[in-house]
Amino acid sequence: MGINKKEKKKWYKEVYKNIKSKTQISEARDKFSEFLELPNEVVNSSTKVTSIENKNILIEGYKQIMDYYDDYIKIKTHNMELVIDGKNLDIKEITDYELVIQGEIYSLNYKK
Amino acid sequence: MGISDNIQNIKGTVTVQIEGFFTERFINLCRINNIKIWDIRTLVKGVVRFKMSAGDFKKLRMVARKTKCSVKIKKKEGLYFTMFKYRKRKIIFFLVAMAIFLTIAFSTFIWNIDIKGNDNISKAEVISMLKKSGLFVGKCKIGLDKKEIINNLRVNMQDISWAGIEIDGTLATVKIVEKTKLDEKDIQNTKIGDIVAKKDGVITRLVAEDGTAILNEKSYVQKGNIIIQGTMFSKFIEPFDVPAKGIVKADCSYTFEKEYLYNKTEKKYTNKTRYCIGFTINLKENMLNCLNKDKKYDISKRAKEIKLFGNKISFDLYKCVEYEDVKISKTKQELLEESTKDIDEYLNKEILPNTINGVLVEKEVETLDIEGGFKTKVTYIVNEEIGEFVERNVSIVNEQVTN
Repeated sequence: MGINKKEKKKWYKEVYKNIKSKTQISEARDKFSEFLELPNEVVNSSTKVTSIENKNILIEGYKQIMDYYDDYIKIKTHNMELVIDGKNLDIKEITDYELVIQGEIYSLNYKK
Repeated sequence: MGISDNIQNIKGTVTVQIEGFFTERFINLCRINNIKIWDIRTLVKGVVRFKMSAGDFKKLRMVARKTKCSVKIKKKEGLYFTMFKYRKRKIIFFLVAMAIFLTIAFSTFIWNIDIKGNDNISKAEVISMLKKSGLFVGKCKIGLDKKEIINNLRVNMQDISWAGIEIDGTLATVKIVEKTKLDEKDIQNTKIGDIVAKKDGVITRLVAEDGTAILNEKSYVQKGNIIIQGTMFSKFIEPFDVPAKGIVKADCSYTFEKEYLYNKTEKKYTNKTRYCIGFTINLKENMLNCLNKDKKYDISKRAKEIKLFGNKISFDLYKCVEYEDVKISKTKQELLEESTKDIDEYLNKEILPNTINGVLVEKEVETLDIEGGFKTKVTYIVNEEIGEFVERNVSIVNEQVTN
């Protein structure tokens, strides 16, 4: 049984509405954080990446580790994936919210 | 691993190695289950090593079962494991217990006394008075009556207006507030007294502003004699007391003597220093000697004294500077130059700084020949102010009035 054209249209409308409401919410959050001068990463629950030269990386607000090798680490964050290439990569510290990676870092890539 | 690390790490940490296909999932599950892990390192693909506290190790079982990883302990660190390793060596436990006991026992005594707020009174004086009052290094803190000590201290030292004792660990901090002293001028304005000679000499100028001058100019005065009496005499009214004021100047004499020898032995230091240790028990010095007997040394001592069961024991460090005796011969001309230099130096550094408005009036140099040299004797006559205000007791005043 195929889906009717009417039902299809209805479903598309719902999806569109959802996306629109989500974007509206995120825009409202941005405006709210801007108005109260709050840091964006706290309000929007986005990820903050701090790097010290090419030896240390601190990632705040990550979700989980997807791949972990000696020369490659892939981390899932709220909006994207972080890919770190390097040599002798160690996870120095891991907590519920923070992650510290130590080693010789060659590159840091963002994947949406 | 040092002892400080061991003590900090009381519970113990273990280095764990996991092997399996889902090592990332293992790490994520550790995080979700609140198992704290750190220093995570991939050795080869599928083999990860990390550190964790020994207490959380049992929680890994569930995570390992879920992810199908094998878990191995590679290293154990911490005080818990060290003590477990030496559990059969009773002497270690005995020593640890002794150390704890001694630490607790010695912390009940006062080992340091710090004094604050003393500007005019010396620290040594306060400490000696505190010792008399019942607070000293080595005194037990238990049953220490601070109020009694403070009361005794205030009775013993009249210059203290307030005192307080604060004990922090083994340090007793004594805070004192000194009495404010009146200036000499203020005393002279408020109290009745006389002007007294503080040195022997012949009076050259005597001006009595308040009171009655007892002596005249050109009269000889000895130290302690009253020059201006703080009493006014009149034909019409009865004598009354006033604070004596005035200027008293006198010629005072000072002498300087020194022998100068043509041939003299002097110390020449060889820049070689040796340190020796020793101990003193009840003023009997015991130096662990390691010095060369053929050579001469200038020895100075530094000591750290403690009191144990009523006996004074001090641990000493001797600094021995090596020197040689060198014979030096000088001509008469050289010695005369040296003597004139010494004469001027004595006048400028020893006499004049200790006088009030002192001026040199006369200088008489006498040289006497002695065996192997000569002796210089110098008499200085210095004109200076010698009057000093001394507060008078009422009883003395009454006696003088009746006379």
